[in-house]
Amino acid sequence: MAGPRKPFEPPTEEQRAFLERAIEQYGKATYNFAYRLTRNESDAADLTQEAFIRVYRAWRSFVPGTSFLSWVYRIVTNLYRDELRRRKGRYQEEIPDDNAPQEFGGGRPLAVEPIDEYVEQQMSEPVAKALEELTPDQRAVLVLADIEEYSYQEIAEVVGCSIGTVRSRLHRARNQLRRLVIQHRAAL
Amino acid sequence: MINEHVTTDTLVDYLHRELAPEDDAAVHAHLAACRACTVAYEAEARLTDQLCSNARAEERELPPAVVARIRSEIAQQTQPAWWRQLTLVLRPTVGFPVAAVLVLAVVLGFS
Repeated sequence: MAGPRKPFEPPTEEQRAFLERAIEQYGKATYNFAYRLTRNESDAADLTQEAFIRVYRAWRSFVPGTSFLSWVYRIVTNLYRDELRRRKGRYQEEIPDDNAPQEFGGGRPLAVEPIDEYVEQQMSEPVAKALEELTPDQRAVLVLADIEEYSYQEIAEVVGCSIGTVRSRLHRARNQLRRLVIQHRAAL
Repeated sequence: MINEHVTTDTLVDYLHRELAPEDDAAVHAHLAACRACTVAYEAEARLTDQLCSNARAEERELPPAVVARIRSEIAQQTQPAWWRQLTLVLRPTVGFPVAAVLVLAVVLGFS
């Protein structure tokens, strides 16, 4: 399979058509995914733009029959990760070690501490706030698992890690989300 | 059937249909008989529902300006090298002074 097309190579009609089809069919989904990751319209716009430029350049790398959306989500996720590293230089520090003991015991039997108290009413705002406070990696996994309904295998392919890491990251994200939702609901 | 209560993490995997078939069946059977775990499972499911509901509520269209920027960026990148050099020279900050000097030279030449 040919590698990514060099930027100065004259574009073909096929390449242009590929891009236009991609934007038409997946532009909105990509933009919304970028927004859910960044929680910011301007950053989502920049990520979407850069992602489709990558799609255009690397159009021959796309394997027909595989999920285009997973491919473009992977590009968005990687771009976002790079951008965070570039901006802050501390992205890795924000990501807890997946093997570290969990701060909020997801392994604890639920009957010890029922959690239904936090989901009864007015969840929208606390959940939105809590989502913003997760680490970027936690948010990515949560969005893919719960909103996009991706399998752990698909998420692993998008974010570039093992299924075990996806599983532990999702558990940690939901534990953290529950804790934050309780905090935000109490503050209402 | 599982006699002990199911952990939150296992309920999350069950909710996402990520348990092995035998574990999935065991959790399913346990939930049918355990009120506490059913309440916990429903809370997890509502949390997912709320995430989806929020996502739907904040869903937005792809701004046309983003599409325009994509096309513009690609058009620039795919121009031949000589054309990019020419547009670089002809950009206003360079083009206007050059044009002004040329006009001045012509005017001075005639006078």
